[in-house]
Amino acid sequence: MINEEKALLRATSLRDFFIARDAPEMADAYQSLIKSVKTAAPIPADWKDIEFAFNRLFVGPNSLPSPPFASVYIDSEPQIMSPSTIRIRQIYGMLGLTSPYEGSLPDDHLSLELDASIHFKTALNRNDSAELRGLWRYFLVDHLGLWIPQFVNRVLSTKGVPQAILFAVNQLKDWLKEEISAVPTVEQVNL
Amino acid sequence: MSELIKEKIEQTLDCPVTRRRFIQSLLLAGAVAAMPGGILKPFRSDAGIVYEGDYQIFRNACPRNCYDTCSIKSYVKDGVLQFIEGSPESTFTDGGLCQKGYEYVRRAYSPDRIKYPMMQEGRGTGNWKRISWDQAMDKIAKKILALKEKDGSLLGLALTKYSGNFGITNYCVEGMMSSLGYTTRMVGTPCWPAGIDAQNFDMGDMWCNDPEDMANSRYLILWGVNPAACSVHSMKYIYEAQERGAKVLVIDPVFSETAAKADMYWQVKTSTDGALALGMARHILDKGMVDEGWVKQNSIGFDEFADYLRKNVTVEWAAKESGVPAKQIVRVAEEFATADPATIWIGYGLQRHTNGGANVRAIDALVAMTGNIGKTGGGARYGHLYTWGFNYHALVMKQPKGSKGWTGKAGPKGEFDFSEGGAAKYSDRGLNINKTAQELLDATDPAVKMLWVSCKNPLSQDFDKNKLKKAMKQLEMVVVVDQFFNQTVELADIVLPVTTLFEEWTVDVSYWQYWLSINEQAIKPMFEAKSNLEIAAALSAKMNALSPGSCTYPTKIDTKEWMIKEFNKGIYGLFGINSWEDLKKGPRKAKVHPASWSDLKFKTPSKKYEFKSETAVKWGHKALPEYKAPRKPYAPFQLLTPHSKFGIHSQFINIDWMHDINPEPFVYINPEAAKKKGISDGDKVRVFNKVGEMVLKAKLGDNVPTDTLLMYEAWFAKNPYNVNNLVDDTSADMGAYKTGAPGVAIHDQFADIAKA
Repeated sequence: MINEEKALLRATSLRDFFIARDAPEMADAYQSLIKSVKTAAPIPADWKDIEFAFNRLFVGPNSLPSPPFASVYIDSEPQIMSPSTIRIRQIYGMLGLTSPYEGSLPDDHLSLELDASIHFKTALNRNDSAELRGLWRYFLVDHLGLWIPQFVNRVLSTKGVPQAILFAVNQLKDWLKEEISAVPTVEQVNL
Repeated sequence: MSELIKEKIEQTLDCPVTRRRFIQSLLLAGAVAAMPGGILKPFRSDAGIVYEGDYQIFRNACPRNCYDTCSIKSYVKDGVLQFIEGSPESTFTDGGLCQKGYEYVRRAYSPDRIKYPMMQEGRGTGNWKRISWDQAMDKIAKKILALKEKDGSLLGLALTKYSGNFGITNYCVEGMMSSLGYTTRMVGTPCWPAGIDAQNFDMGDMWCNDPEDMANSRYLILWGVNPAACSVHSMKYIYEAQERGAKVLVIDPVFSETAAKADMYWQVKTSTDGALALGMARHILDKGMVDEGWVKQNSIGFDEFADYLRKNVTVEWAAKESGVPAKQIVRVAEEFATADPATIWIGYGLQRHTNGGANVRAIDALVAMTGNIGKTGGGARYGHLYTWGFNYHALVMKQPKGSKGWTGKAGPKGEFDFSEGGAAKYSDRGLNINKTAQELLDATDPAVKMLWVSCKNPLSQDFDKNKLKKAMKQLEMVVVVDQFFNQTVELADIVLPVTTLFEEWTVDVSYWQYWLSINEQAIKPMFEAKSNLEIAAALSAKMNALSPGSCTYPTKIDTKEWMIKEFNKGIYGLFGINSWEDLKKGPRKAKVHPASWSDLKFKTPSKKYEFKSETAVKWGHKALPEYKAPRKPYAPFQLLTPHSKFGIHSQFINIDWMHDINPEPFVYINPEAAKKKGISDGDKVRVFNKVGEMVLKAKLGDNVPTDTLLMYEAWFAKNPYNVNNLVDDTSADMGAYKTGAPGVAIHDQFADIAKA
């Protein structure tokens, strides 16, 4: 697999992992994630335990130490469906895209934003433009770059998180770092 | 430079015109296309949802168990609830909510909401799996069918539901149970049953004046009620009365927030209110201040009551029992008897005693003998269900053909049971909701094996928590329907996410004020939340798929239609509306005389006010409002667990905004008492009794009597605090007549305290 394919696979695996509904979906996404990176990955013995931990961190029913929604971290109050959520919805709209959840899942769920990132990269490959570069830079640096590190820290500082989830979260951290290092420069964004 | 780009992008995003231009340029350049396997899908400008434009305004109502039942105006933009305010059209709500209501947007949009149906592997383990609604209904339906197979009936399935959501269509939960067969129901009410019976014995119904007419009162006694905390919207009428020259007396064992606003305050010894009322009555009798005309024309049994007073009651005795000085009793009695009109607001806390019903009867008698019933600005105010005459379409369901059920004494009715229960061969099995733990342990033939919990939080609110945990161990499946994780969800096998008021259609009224509010669905349900109606339909669909005919609940429900089905000619006439749509313009008030019983046509057997009630005798009580002694203390301190303004029972307490202003629970103790125990302000202490114990911090304050400990009801999130570790399930004297079971003596509890 060439680098570009691997990069795409990593992004899609992370996207699918953080929105997984059950152990099989988590395991599938994780398998793809392992294939896409060079780092040695922990192989869980029992996905059931991973599932319980995943839900404790990201789903519920108890209160979440690390909710996977951007607005919780970047708006003035830690709630969902905040002004920044609408901003994200507008950005999707700018790409000609919309969330199929129609608001029942906040538009700024980590996986929706990862999906949008994939769309951005694809669009930039297909037809680079200053506007698109500017929008991507904004999305990456002024949005993802603001909240994902906080989200990652929340997970890393929670006790008892299984190795597999820590691995996925660290991969997310790496992905973000690499994307930011490759982001269009200010000069390349001519608005 | 980077900042400039950020600004420019945000400007572009904020303006619909520039946004469209941007999209056009991208689309023209062929930059964007759908991606197979992706989540986001192409955005069509003709798609249903419009994300631009001004606010949409919706009408909602707070469906909580609260006197005020506020009418709400909700502002939605981009399909997102932005903020809410109290409806200005309701003179009662008067444009404002309360500190709980203002947190509603936070409830709807909390990242901690229960989002999906989930299953716990091992109750209490915290190991939860996400399941689909179909999987959840499948597991539940299969369990129900298995129970039916084993027992030949569904009496092994129990429902515990109370006042978590008073939106009328939520009676669909009871309807859902009926549509499955004859089931076990936790019946009765922990709330107000003793007082309801008392008012029914005296007048034939519980029916209070319009609270807005308190402004017309010349003398107000707020007896065992704390509206400054629990009915904030009522306070303006009390202030108005004061401004017009009326006198306000607060009678409460605790110097409450309301007491601080009164003209006079009596610190009555807990549970001796009956003696106090009888003492005042005796003095009024002696002074010839009884409204003889009213009594002669509108009551029976007064002579016997007068006789009882003369033989058994003196002001000195009343002063000794209640702790209120005789001089005060005498003066207030005379002021009350001569003020016109005078009123007493009887609180629910007052009747949560082993002599609660008897105490209310004595207070009712005081209002009646002074001729204050049926008068604007008068009345023995307690509550009403006058505006609740809906169709209960969601509630009334037939059991499937061939259903077997309880053949014992006919199933009891709760006070919110609006179904027209006729005589039947079988019925539901009714168990006392106030003794849930014991009843679950004792139920046999068949035993209760499955529990459905909705609009209730038993592990927070039910008494004798340790006993309840024990009782739950015998249950094979516990299904909990809720919005947030709590101590009940913690012990569930399956949790189902339910909608907030903004995500469902329903209609709301109050048991205190006289307004009617529509509740429109303002936003799409978040995540996979469903309303109780949708849950009933989903369960029925699954039941019938597995076993045709096993559930009569309709499987396809348009919840808006079902809200409309609640309306009838009676409601239209009462509120002067032509259609429910009139309520879209705002809430409407019932067109009634402000004074209940203004026609003086009581609903008792004699059609008069009954100082002497044969019905009371039938139900095992004295005919007259005689004194009943309080429960004997079994520990040094009285333990009071009243309502906090920071929550409605178990709701709102867990919201993070509430924690900002109410960060931790305390036990409140009088400084004198604390000194004797070597306890200083902020010390960690142990509160303990034969029921259980609690470790928490103490707060000193002399608004609490020296012989009393106060802890606010009931739980605290992320904290083992729960007053029900200390509260037993001793019954109140009354409640069985009108609500199916006696109440609970919640405030007749005792405990000791020591430094931890």
